[in-house]
Amino acid sequence: MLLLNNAAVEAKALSWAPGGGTQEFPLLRNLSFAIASGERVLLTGPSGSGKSTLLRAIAGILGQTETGVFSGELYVRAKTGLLLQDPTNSFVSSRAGGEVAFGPENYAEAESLIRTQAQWRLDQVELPYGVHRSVHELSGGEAQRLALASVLALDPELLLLDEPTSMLDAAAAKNVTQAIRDALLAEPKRSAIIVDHEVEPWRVLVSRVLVLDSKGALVSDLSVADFFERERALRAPTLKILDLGIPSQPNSQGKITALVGPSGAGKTTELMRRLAKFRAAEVGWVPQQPEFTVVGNTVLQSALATVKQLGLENQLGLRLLAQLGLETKLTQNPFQLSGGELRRLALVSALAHHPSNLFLDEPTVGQDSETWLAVAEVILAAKRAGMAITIATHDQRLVALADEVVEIQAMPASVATAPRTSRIPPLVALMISFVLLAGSFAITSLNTGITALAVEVIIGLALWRVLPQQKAERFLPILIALASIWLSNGLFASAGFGAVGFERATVITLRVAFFALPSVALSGALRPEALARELVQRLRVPARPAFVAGAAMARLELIQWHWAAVRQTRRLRGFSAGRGPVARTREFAASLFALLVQQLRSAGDLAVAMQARGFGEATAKRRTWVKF
Amino acid sequence: MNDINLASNTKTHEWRVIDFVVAAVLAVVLGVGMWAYDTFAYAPVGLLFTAVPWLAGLQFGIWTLPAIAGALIVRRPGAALLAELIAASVEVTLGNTWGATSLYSGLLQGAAVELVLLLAIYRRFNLSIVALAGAAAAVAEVIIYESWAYWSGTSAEFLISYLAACMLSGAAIAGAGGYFLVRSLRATGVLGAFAK
Repeated sequence: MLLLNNAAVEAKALSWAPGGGTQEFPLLRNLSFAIASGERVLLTGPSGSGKSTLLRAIAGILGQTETGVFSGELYVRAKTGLLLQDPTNSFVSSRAGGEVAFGPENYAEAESLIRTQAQWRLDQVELPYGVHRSVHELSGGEAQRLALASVLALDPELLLLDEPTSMLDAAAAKNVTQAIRDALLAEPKRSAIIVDHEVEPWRVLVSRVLVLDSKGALVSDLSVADFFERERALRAPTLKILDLGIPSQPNSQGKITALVGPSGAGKTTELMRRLAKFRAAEVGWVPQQPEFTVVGNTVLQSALATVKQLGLENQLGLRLLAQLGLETKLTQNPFQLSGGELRRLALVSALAHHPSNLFLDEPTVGQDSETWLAVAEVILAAKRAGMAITIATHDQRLVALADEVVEIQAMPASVATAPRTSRIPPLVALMISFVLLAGSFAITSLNTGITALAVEVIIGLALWRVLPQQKAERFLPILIALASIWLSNGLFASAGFGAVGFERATVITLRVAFFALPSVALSGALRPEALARELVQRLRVPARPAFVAGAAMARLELIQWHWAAVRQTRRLRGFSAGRGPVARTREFAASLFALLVQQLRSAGDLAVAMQARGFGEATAKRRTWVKF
Repeated sequence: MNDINLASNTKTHEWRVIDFVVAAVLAVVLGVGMWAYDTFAYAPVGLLFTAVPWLAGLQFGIWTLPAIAGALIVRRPGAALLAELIAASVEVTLGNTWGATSLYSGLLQGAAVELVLLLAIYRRFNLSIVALAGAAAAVAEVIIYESWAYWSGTSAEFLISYLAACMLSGAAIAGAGGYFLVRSLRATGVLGAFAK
């Protein structure tokens, strides 16, 4: 075979099929191409054509994060850096500095070097807030520039960009595009593969355009000039008026309201606020994370779940699935769909019970020109049927279809709160808890118990300023538990099953209070990331599991927000909690399961981002860990 | 030349990045569930058992679920321990009844589950093995920790009854519950990176 000497990437008859068997359709089909070192190409193609899959294959992580069967050959002779569509799923640190440092840390670079590099990379993408900035306080565009900075920190020779601006409004997208352009032009030897449905923004940057078709085969490989020449020859398709047989709403004229405004201005919050008053039968809802709406294990089940919950029966769902190009995927697992497909499935799920109101959050993200038309046609058909449609979007073509445009102003930048740190190192707090637990052994009588607890309370009050700030209600559960221990030990004795008595019960309760009260008071000092780092640096706990534990716990804030979204979405899909404790518990369990599924799916993205930044390398086992 | 290894590795004992991440994310979500139980359900449920306090042990399995589910998904040595410790840390961070001592419980329960899986050489992950592991976690928790920390003044009959309730719950809620939880998770397709 011919090996190009200067090829950064070379693929020969490369195929990949997900899952274990060969019965499934391949996502990549017999691809052959080469990309020279220093060359910048655009990779495009319809939604679900395998663009992201190909990028992951080139990044060397495909077989690691999902199972599948490869055939053919793939040679990658460059250090790769991968930037994903939605950076919030790939953050590993709660601080901007920690995020940029992650890659170099995995290659065990020196701490001083990493510190200078972190600041420098933030400057490079023009993030002015410094290394201590919380990643949760960044707008969408800023978050994506931070993600770019953390990829650049690895000094990649081949930059892989997966729809880097598709979640952003025009202004933020322009900033991110500019940052990418600067990063590429600064290093002429750096190659790049950019995946996007839009070719125009990258026109000046790339020299070639590769096009995949819906079956995952390479159908064209043209220079940029030739690509646009051919595009001009094709007549732009126009919106058709469809009759999808959506039942008309009585006494209602359809209307489309567009909510516009910069990324992070609160469009989603506004949508959620407007949604709150509706019942499932009245409303359809497509959230920004379409995976929240998935119910059941197949595309068909998920599409018709609300219809079934409401006890309706209709064929609308099937017609919508066909219109949106999902009719061949009915028995597939929703989580095996591409991002664009999953979003279209969410639209079907929201419409199939023909509600009178429709709320859509960025419904056109990840759509190619054909599926974009299909989505727009469905929205227009819903309007003609008399639905009131509210769309939060940054897609100008979609805004053009609206009857009313509401501008959401950016919220004033939140005042950066000083990180609430405790003066007690986490490891010390942990040790104090265990010493007190062991020491509580000595409490065997009422006298020792009262004395010990009194001394402890006095010491605690004296050290009040050093102790981590703790809300009073944190002590409520332990106080209830102490009461319950006292009561059950006491009553149990009176019931004659053993000999405890209320005096003995008091001693036991004092003893538990002796170790449990300070333990609760100190729990505020156990900041997960700090504790994990101390465990590694002082107690030689293995670095990778400890780091992942800290990173996963840093997502608690995000998970709390997702929990609210899951509850809301389930309610609007017709799964309402009944009144009794059993029904409530059942709905709680079902919601927790839905949250778990959704989190495990985003864990896949997190793993991809971590692996792409060297967390799987041998050096990561003795990785550096810099405190920010 | 730096060729990419296209073969997926699912058989080695070396942990992959996805193993770490999935074990941790699973544990964080289950930890939130445990915290919610501690905060909203533990006290009201406790009232139900006032007459026969040792029956409170029937709740035990809830707190060992992360260890069993983590082990069943990742199937590598250490997964149960890692998941259980992270879930306990989540309880502590969000603020539960027992504060930092929850980590001690987590360590004991995770280690006990690991021990049983080690006896099965990390090869068999069927229902009876994980039920046994759940019961073993109860033995570790009650005998090594709770017997002296919470129940030091009680009779042998009480301790034995309480231990039996915990073991039953460990086998049923953590063992069987974890087994069926992971089966449902697989059916959704989000565990595509893991062997069946």
